[in-house]
Amino acid sequence: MSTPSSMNGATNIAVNTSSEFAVEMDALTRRFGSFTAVDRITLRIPRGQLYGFLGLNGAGKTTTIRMLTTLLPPTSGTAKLWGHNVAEDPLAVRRLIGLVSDETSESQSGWTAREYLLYFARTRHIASPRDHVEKLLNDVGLEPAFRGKLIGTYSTGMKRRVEIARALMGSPKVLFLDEPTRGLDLPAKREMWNLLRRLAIDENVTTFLSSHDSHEIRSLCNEISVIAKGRIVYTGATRDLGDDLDSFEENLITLLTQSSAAAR
Amino acid sequence: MTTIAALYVEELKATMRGRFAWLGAGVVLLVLGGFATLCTQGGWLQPYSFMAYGLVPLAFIIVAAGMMASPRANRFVESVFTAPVSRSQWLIAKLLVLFTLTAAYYAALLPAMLVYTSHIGVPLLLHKYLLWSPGILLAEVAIGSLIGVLFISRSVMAPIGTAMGLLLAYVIFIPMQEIISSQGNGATRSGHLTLLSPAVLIKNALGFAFGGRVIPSTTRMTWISLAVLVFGSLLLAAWVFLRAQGVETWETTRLKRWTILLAVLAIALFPAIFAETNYDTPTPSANNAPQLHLTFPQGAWAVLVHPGAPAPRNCCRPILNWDYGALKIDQPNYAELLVVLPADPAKAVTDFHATLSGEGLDISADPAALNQSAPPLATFAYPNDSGPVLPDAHKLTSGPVVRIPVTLNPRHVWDLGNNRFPLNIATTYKVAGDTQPHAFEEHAAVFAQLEAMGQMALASLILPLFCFGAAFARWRRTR
Repeated sequence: MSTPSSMNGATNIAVNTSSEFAVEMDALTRRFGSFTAVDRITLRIPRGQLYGFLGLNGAGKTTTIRMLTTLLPPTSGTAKLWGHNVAEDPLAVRRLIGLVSDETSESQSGWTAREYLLYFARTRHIASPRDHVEKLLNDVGLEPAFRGKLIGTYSTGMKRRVEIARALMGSPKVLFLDEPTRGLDLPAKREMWNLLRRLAIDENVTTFLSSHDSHEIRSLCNEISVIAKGRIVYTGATRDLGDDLDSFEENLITLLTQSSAAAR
Repeated sequence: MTTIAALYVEELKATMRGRFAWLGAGVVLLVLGGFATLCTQGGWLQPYSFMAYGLVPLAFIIVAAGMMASPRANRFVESVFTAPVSRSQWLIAKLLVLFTLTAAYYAALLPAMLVYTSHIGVPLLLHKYLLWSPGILLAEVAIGSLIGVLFISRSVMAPIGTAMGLLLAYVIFIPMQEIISSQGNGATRSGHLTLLSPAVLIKNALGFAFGGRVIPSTTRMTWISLAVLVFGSLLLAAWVFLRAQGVETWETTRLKRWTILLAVLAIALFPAIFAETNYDTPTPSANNAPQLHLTFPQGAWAVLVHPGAPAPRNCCRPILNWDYGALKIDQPNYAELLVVLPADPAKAVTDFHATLSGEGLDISADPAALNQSAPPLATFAYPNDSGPVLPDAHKLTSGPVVRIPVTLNPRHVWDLGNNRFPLNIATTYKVAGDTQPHAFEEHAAVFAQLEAMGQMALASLILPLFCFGAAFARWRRTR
């Protein structure tokens, strides 16, 4: 993946400059019936940061991301992105974000990558949508020969690249990435990491990275939160959980085990 | 371009990006076109139009339910609603796409219809069909959208299955209502039940029937019921989608759940309870086809044959030209009418007079042939012991035949294919030895064929070929 193109062709984003944080959560809660998936999370993430979000399966990571990306309304509490409340002003929030979740491009397996991205380029009213789409596909490194072929024929890594290209469309201020490098081979994974770093440095893009890959989190994120049973059990510097990968993972497992035991 | 317009254009394009979308559309149109072509050999309007303007539009309930449900089932909404798109904008665009597809389907019927109208014009039944069809399409999109919205799951089977069940009920209720109302039971519970079908409601509102003899005398509440069904479904779908659901989740309170349940019941049951069932008005004529009352007095038979030909062995049928073949439209058809007299062939027949009349066709015959003092008679053997019994209890095994050269010119056709015209024969004659002259009247018919098979086939092939071409082009472009 090459250095991202400058965000030319993108629509203007109405940015609320009153908040210094990219993401703010105050007692954010989501219940499904009697089950509390996310329990009074309070968290603030500064702008331009690569932020890691860790947790076991079913801990509440995806529910949190879905609330922050306006896909799921909170039951109580508030969440703001660049000062915009996700529940009250979802359109403003959607102008600020990009989301890569579990292979949503798979849903449109009968489309080509170009068609898929053009759909979003045109609905975002991006000037010269075709050029913009080609530029994004260059950024994520999808071979030109494949761009006009059906997504259903792509490898997992290629589908991931298409999803990342879609998430980068419209120059997002906050990127939500749920397992973004799953299915990518090692070179592609490292290109992806470089891309995210450059976005943070050059474009001041905040990245909210949910991953099971400790190495990925340690490589990219200076600050992390760990969630267990819907509650934040750790927030702080990544290095505080261990100087090397082994100690990081051991401390993380200990933390999660203790949290689960406490919750019981 | 507004966001709704951009979404509309993109969603419309997306609809035809499905791997088999163009192919499917082509197959549907090809089957319909094939049916339209076949129907030019019998009667075109009733069978083809019922299929094309009634049954297929009813199936749009499945299309609407599937199209509404699939973006949530396949998680495409996650991509859409993390872009700056509001859910109301997307819903409007999606509905507009559905209405565009229905309009495209309606337009796709145009070539076949033009072939028909170029020959026949627009009879009442076609006029009604042309209104019935968009009404059904509108209702089916509304109801299908509501079904699609009500189901949130990772599979489209539930909404499609529900839509298919409703489709079957809606189809079955059409003949059921015609039979029940014709039997005078339109106001019974079963009669009310049939009004659950929007196809029946719209048919009643427009005041026509396919085979039924009666239609409702008033239609005010039927129209109101239709409005409740269509706009109620659309409004409820919009309210549920925007106010009772999240992007992929139900976000309801107990009050909202009860409101939805009661609203669905009210919308579904309102027509069955309130639409009119006063089936007191005779059904208007579907077209200008004359009424046929086929009667042959015993032994008094007739048949059309080619000049000089004998009576066919399997003579005779109420359709006089069964063996002669179809008459040609708008041109003279020369034939001989053989009239079998129920008289003893051993006795002389004198003072034969015949009068021929028909509806929708011109009949002419030489007056000398219609009035013969001593007609030259051939003998016709009644087949299978079917000869008449004379007043003296003598059963005839054969009868005398009078031959009348006639020219028939069918002029006023009302359908492609087979048109049946009444042909009435009135005769008087004397039989030697009888004191009183004899007389009888036959009410028979002749059929004429309006040939348009080639034109219909050609008209019906244009759009399927276009669809197959588009499918092939897309396959080549994306393979």
